[in-house]
Amino acid sequence: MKKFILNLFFFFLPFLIIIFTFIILDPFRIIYKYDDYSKDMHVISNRDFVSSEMFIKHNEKQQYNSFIFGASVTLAFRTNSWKKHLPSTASPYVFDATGETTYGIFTKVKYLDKIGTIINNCIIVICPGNTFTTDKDQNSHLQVKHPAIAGTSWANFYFTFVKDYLNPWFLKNYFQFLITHKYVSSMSGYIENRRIIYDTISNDITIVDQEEEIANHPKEYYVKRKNIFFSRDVSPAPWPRQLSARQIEMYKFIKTVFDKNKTNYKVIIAPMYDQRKMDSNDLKTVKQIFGNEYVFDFAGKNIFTEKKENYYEHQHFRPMVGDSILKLIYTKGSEISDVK
Amino acid sequence: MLFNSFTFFIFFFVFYFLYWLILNRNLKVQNILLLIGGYVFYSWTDWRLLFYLIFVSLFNYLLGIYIGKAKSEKNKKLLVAIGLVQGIGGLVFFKYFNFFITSFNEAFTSIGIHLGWQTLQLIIPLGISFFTFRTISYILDINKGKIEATTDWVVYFTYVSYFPGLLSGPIDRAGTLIPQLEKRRSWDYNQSVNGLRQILWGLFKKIAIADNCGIFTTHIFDNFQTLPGSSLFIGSILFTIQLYADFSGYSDMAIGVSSLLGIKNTKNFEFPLFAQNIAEFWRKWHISLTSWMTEYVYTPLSITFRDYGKLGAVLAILINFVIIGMWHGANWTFIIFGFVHGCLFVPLILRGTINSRNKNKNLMKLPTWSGLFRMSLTFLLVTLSFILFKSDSISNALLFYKKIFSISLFSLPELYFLKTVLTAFVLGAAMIIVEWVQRDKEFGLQIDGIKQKHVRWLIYYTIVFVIMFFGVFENNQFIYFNF
Repeated sequence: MKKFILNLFFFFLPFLIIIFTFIILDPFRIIYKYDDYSKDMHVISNRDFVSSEMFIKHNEKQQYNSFIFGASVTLAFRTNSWKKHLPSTASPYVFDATGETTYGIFTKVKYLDKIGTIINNCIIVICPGNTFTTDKDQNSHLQVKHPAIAGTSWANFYFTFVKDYLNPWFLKNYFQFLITHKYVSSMSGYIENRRIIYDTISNDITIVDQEEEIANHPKEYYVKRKNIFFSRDVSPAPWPRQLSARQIEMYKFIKTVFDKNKTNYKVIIAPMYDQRKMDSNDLKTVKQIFGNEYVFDFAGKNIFTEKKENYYEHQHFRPMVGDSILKLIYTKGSEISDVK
Repeated sequence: MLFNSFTFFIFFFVFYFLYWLILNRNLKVQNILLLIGGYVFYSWTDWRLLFYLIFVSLFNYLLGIYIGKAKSEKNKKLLVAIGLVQGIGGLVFFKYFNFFITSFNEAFTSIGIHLGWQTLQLIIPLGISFFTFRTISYILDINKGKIEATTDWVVYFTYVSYFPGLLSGPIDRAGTLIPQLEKRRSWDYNQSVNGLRQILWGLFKKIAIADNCGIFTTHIFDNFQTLPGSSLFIGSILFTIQLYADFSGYSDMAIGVSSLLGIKNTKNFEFPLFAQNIAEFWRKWHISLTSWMTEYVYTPLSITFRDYGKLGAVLAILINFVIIGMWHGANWTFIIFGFVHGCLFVPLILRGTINSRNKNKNLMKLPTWSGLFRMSLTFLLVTLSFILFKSDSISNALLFYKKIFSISLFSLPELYFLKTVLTAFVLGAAMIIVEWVQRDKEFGLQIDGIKQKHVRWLIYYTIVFVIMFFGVFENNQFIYFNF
C-alpha cells in the first residue's frame, strides 16, 4: 500500500503545487478579504463575488435599499445619476455580475428578502440574448455565483476557480505577468490591463482608461476599434425565444418580493449595439409579470443604438446613455412606448 | 451523493483510510463501517429514505432465515410468496401507484365515467428498483438452494445497502456479493490501481461526454416541435451516446470504487455499441438487469410456454421486455419501449439465431462491411427506441418520430450549442475508438498491458485534463438515478 499511496501522491503532486500557489497568491481574490477589490487588480475578477462581498461588508452600515441588478452593462447606470430620481433616503448599490442571468438576479433578490433588506427602489437591466440564457449557476470562474448569496456549495465554488487556474494558458500568462510586470496583448482575456475602479460603497464600476481615452482622443478611440464595431444588419433578426418555465417562476418570485416591499422598480431592456430585439413572446411575458408601465424596451434600432459613440465597444454603452435612459423612465415613465 | 462530486471525494477519502488502515484487522467492524457508509451515502439528500431501506433489509433478512429453516415445501412457497409480495408490492406501490391511478382515471374518463381517484404524494426511495431486485434474488436463490441464508445481519444489511451499486447498480446477486462480505478482504495493488483507472474512465464518460451531450439533447427534446428532423436525428444519436456514457460511466465508477474496497462487482456493460443484433445488445447492455430478468422471469416463462414452441419463446420474450420497460419507469413510454425491444427479438427467435455470437477476435481489425452494417442497423434501431425512453408521453414520442421521418430530415440541422455538440461528438468518437480497441478488456482504460509507466501516466494526465477543460461541472444527476 505504501507504493500505491506514494504513486498517488506523486501523480497529484503537480496539482498540489499549483493549488498551493493558488492559495498563496489568491489571483482571483476569493480566498482572502479585501477592502478594495479593484486596487492593484491584475486578474479579471468574478464581479458577482466582488459585488456580493462588498454588499455583505458594508450593508450593515450603509443600509442599502436601492439596487441595480444586471450584467456589466449596469456600469452605464451610475448611482449618482440614479439618486437624482430617488428620494433622499435612498442608499443605492450596484449588485451586478459578469454576464448576469435570471438565476443570478433571482438568487440576489431571494437573499435580500431572506435577510430582511427592504428594497425601496430597483432597476433590473435585461440584455436581450444574454440574461435569459440559463436558469442555473454557471461553471466558469467569471460567472459562478457567490455561495453565500446563491445558497450553493463553497466546495464547488472553489473547485471552479481551481479548475480555471489550472488552465495552462492562464498559468502561463499569469506567471509571466507576475514575473515581468509587463502586459502583452496575448494576455488579453486573462490579465486585466485597464484601470478600473470599483466604488467601495456603491460598487459602481468606472473604466478610467477608456473614459480618459475617449475624452482626450475621441476620434482615434473609435478608429482604433473600428473592427470591434461590426456593421449591423438593416433589419436585425430578433433573438429566439429563451425564457424557460423555470425562469418565469423566478421572475414571478421577484415580483412578489417587489410587491411585499412596495418597491419602485423599473425593468430596462438594454440598448445593445447589435440592435437585436428580444423575442416578442419573451417581452410580452416580462411585461405580464412586471406590468407594461414598468418595462422599458430600449433594444432594437433607436437613437441610442444608432451611434457607436454611445458605446465603449460592441457590448457596453456609456454612462451618458444610462443617464438619458434614467431621465426618460423617471420623467416620462409610462408615456414611453417604444423609443425610436 | 454523486460519485462525481467533491462531497463524495471527501467522504470516500476518509472512508478508505478508515476501511484499510484502521479497521482492516476486524472483519465485523469493517463490515459495520461499510454499512454505516452505505446509510450515510444513501441518506445524504434525505434521511427519511433510510426507513424503507432498513425495513426491507430487516424483513428479508428474517424471511431468508425462515425460508432456510422451513420444513415443508408448502411453508417455503408461502414464505417466498410473502417476500415477493413485499418486494414487488413495495416497488409497485412507490413507483407505479400514481401511474395506475392516473391511467385508470384517464381510461374511464374517455368513456364518460369520472372516477376521480386521488393520487398520493409519495417520496420514492432512491434506487428502489435496484435494491428490491437484490432482496428478491436473495430469497429466490435461498429457495432454489443456490445459497444459504446468512445469519449475520451486518453482512445482509450491508449486502442490501452496499453503496457503490445502491443507487444505479450493478444489481449484484447475493451469491456474488455476500461471500465477499463474509470473508476478510486483503488489499491488492493491481486491483486498487485498476479501480482507480475504472473510476477515471467513468468520470471521463460521465463528465466529459454524457453531460456535454445532455446540454444539446435537453434542448432538442424540450423544443422538438420547432426543430427540423435533421436536428432531432442528431439529438437522438447524441442521446444514445449520452445514455451509454452516463450509465456505463456510473457503473465504471461503482465497480472502480468497489475494487478499491477489495470487492469485485458484476460487470454491467460490455461495449454494447458494437452489438450486431438486438440480442447481442442486451447481452452487453445493463448486463446485471438482463441476467437477473433472464434467470427469474424469462427462463421460468420459457419453461411454462415450452409447449408452444417458437410462439412460446416470443411470448416469453415480449413479457420479459415489457417488464424491463416497466422497471425503468411509470410511464406508457417505457412499456412501449420494452415491447418494441421484445418485438425486435422476434426475427431472431424465428430464425433461431438469438444466441449467435460475433466471432471476430482480432481486436485491432476493423469490422467487416457486413459487420459494420449490422452494428449500424442495431445502433439505429436502439437510437430510435430510445426516443421513447426520453419522451415524457407517447404523443410527444410519436410527434418526434413524425418529424424525423419527414422531409425535414434532409434539411440543414439547427445546431445550438455548436461547441458543445462538437465536443460531444469528438469525445464520443474517442470513447468508441478506445473501447473498440480495448473490447477484450473489462473497461476502456484497463491499460495494465502498457509496461512503460510514463506512457500510462501520460494517458491518465491527458484524460484528467480533458475532463477538466471539456467537462460539464454542474452536478448533473445520473439518468438511471430516476429508476
